[in-house]
Amino acid sequence: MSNYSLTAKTAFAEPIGTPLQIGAYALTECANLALVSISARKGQSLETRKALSDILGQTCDVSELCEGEKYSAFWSGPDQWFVMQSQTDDIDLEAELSGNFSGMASLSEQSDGWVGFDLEGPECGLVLERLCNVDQSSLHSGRVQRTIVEHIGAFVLCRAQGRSYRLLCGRSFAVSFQHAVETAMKTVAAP
Amino acid sequence: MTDTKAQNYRLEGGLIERDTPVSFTFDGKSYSGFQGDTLASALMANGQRLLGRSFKYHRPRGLISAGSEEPNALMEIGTGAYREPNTRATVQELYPDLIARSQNAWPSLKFDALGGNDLISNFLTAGFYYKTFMWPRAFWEKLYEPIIRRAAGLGRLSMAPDPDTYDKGFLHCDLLIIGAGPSGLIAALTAARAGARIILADEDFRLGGRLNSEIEELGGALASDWAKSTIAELESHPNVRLMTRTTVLGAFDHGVFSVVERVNDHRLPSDRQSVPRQTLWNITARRSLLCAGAIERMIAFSNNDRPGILQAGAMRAYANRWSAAAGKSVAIFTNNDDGHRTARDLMAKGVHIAAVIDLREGAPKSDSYPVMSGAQVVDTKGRLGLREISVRRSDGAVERISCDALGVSGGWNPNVSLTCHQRGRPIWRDDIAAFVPGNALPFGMAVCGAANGDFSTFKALESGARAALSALETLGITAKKPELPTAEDTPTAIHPLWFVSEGKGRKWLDFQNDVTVKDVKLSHQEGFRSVEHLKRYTTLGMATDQGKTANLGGLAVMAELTGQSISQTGTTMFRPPYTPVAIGALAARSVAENFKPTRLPPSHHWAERRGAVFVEVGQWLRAQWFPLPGETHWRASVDREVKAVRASVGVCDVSTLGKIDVQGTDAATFLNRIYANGFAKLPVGKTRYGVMLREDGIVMDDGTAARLAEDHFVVTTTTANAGAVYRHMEFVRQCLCPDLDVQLISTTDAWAQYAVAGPNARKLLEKIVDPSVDLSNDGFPFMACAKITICGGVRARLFRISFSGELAYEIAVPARYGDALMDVLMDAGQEFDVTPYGTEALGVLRIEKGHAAGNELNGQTSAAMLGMGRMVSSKKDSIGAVLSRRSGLSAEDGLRLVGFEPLDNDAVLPAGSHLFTQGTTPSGQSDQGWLTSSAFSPHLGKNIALGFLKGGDHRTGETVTVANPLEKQSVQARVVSPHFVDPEGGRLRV
Repeated sequence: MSNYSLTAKTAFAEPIGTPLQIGAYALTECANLALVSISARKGQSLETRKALSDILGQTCDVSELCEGEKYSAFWSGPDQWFVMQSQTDDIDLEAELSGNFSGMASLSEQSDGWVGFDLEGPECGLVLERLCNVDQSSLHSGRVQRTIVEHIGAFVLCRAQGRSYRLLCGRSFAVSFQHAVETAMKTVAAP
Repeated sequence: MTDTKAQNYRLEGGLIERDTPVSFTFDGKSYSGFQGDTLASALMANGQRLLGRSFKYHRPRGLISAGSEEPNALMEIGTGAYREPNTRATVQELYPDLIARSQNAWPSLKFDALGGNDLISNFLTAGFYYKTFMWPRAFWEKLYEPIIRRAAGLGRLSMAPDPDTYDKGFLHCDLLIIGAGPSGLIAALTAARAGARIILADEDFRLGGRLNSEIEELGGALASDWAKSTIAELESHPNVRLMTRTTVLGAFDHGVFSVVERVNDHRLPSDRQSVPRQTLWNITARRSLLCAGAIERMIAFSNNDRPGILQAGAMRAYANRWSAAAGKSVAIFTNNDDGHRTARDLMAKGVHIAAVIDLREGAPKSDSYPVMSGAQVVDTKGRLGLREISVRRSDGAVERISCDALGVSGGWNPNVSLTCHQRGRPIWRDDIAAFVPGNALPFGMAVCGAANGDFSTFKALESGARAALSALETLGITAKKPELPTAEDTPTAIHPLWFVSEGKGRKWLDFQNDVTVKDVKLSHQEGFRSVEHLKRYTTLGMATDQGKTANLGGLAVMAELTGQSISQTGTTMFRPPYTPVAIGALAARSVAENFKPTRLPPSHHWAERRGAVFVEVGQWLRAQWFPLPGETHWRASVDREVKAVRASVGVCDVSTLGKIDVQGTDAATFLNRIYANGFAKLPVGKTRYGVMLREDGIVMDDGTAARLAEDHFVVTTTTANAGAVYRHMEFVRQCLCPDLDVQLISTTDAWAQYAVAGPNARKLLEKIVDPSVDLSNDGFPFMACAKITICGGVRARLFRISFSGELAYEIAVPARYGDALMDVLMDAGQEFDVTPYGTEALGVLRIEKGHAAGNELNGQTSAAMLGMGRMVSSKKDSIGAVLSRRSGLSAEDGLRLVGFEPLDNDAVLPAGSHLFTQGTTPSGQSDQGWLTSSAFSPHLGKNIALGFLKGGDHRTGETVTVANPLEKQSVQARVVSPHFVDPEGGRLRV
């Protein structure tokens, strides 16, 4: 047995995410967000969708975000989805789900590839419109959009239109990304 | 505040807030105005006619307009770093304690030393600079240009970084309405009631356009009141976004508009709080309506540039909206009915009308003021402001009339600029003597109101409503035509006149650039007859106003000279931005350290705590070296780090290398096509170095691919090419090999990956891996890879690969453990003096080992050049393989990567130096290659280098000349193997 142990830290080198509250807007880093990408193998599209809807309890179509009890998922490209699970401990979500998709899809662990931020507030759209070129009138609750935020590739997941969004960016970008969102929040919240 | 002048030119009424006086200074003197004033209207109310000096001749100049088209009244606003030059006083809102200064005058506006330019104006005509400052050539940059720039300046830059913040954003709408005059307001009302998502943008701080400047009735109400109530209704619709102080700068592809909102230009910098000064919006509109109105044009006549001579319509706007009189005794010179409206309105406000001079025979008569039909203004007097005009009457006599202001109306030009941003060309209409938008409009755009030549208020309303209905119909939105208010509907009655031929004084066309009718004639005489040539030769239509009041006059004169119609002569191309925009607004939030996003590797915070020196590598910020106390020079730190790796063990964060997960039953087949060397038979649990080529046979990237399972590889790319390689692989997957079962996804950020290198690397890792992991040379040999666990169950990936030439591993853990893993490695490695090393030591180690990196893989090198020609397998087809065999890329005597050592151990071999055979004269013809990478090798105790040398693989031992002619350096160096350390590779395999 090794005499050493490793402690998990956020992209900000903190034990847990530090929430930001600016005016009516809150930005919270989702600590311990487990993520796995699922890509259907050739000719296995229908089977993969079926397996996915089995674990979600609902289907997850193009540009959709489906939040289930244990797992949530969003569409990320043709025949490709990200499955999310929020939990407190480090789990190997890829290993946990691989049995469900055996032979029909390729799974890649993405838990530490992406950082999730929950943006909440009464008129979040005013913050988002300064960050990404997304027509928010058509980004309804349960929709997802891949986009660019401040030159950073990102996913915008709409949980409640105008009020609650989850933003995902690559982990190495997290500090710059949060700075951009924070700047927009400050501008919008200013008197 | 003792010098406050009374507002002697202030009239009754208007839309200013008289309860809120506002004090400000102009050229150091204090003045007072009201909330709702512009700087221009406040200065006019104070009788300040002289506002600036012209660009070239330093002629005294005053206001021409009341809008963004202003060519003359340019000011410096603010002080210190906040000072902004070239601000048009006509659009600058007045705010308390505003500080304005005139431009281009020294020592003062009244006594400008460079006013002498005007006396030698005969020598300063169009083309003067081109003709005069030709010789001697060397004088241009050092002497002529600085002098000319000083004399011909507009405003002064503060030369300090812009202290304001700017923002940007993205908006989407069904209908973007540009301009909130009568046509824009009625269009907005139509669309708002139908539930369409609309944005109504106007550059003014008060919506309403000309309605705020006219004493007209709309539906029985005062025009400005109708505008006010319409805006109130629009505000009540949640689907409407009203944007004041907002200029649409450009119309781009697919209904995209660039728009600047001046959020905070109407406050002192100290009152702006944390809100950005301006916001640049990118608006995507499914449809757009251009309701930008029209700009009144001047008529050129002798000395028509004196302060006090302005557009008649502007004069009316100042009187009606801002209750400011341009003069005590006003004359009007017109060729259409609109000039008479100005006389009527000013008269009603109690201003004395000296005369209305109408070019047309049979001009409308008036009982209230003298009208001179068939007459023309032929000259003016008044050095710093208009005092008198001379009028040639229809009976041939010249009459002198005293007046201190002259309103000029030469007709109105529809504001077509935005219709031309996609190369649309306006078309000429004889009936209104003006250009109107052509048929090739930007995507989704329609034009209405005065911008389309519908000049009467009623026609503007009607065309606005109609255009909104048709735009909505194409979007499938049903709308109802609103009831139009009764409104003025006077037809245009104009007799075109561009310039008065009589008179010897200069007749100004372009006030901002000091271009006269004579300059256009000179341009014609010298053969510059196309309007685009005319513009460039005379500078007509250039600079901050882009000739909004000048262009048509200039081309009309050219048309007359060439005997063509104005229609045939055409216009110059209008381009974005519509009005000047601060560079800060274009940069928005992307300034200083936020110019681009920064990527931080997983050990970044650890390296910060350790006191690392960082370097930007593309978007990444990487530790360059880790100085220890007492190390005063970077070389001391780097040499120590390199030696530590060779002697014991070092740790370097290599997480920035691209990681691509390649899965699928055809993953091996896929990689076999991507890489030039063979991959199909790579066993599970093994890693292989691979070279990938572009289609043209040039090396694209190198790296390793590790086979974690039959159907699972992890491909590693260089840091610089991570994005490009992933894109290339996706292209191959989707377009070239759609039949293969392959899935790709980037996992670069998911893993913290550290190189652990040096003779003690295994001993160090053995302390942290879980007991089940066998790290012995047999159990985990060179190029092995495996999924393992460390530190009591944390999943990890281990690769036995080496960039340094030593026994080395790369260990990867989920990025969340990256920070802690560094601490653990340092802790466990204490007994081996473990040393963290940065990119600089990494570079030295790889040069010593002869590994190619970015300097060598620069998009110009073939596999043969790198000494890897035989890696391009002839047993299979792979991308780029065929073209890599072109004779030019594979010639025996081609460039080859070799090593170099100086004969003199103290000599430096600068990278970039070129190589020459000893005894030859360095020249392009005798060039034998160049040095790509160079470093001081602590291992060898001298400088070494890598480079490409013609036939280099056969020239080992030869002495070549390493020349750097730019620095007059020349060093003799010996050609050696590029592998300075352990050429047999024994150390890797122990």
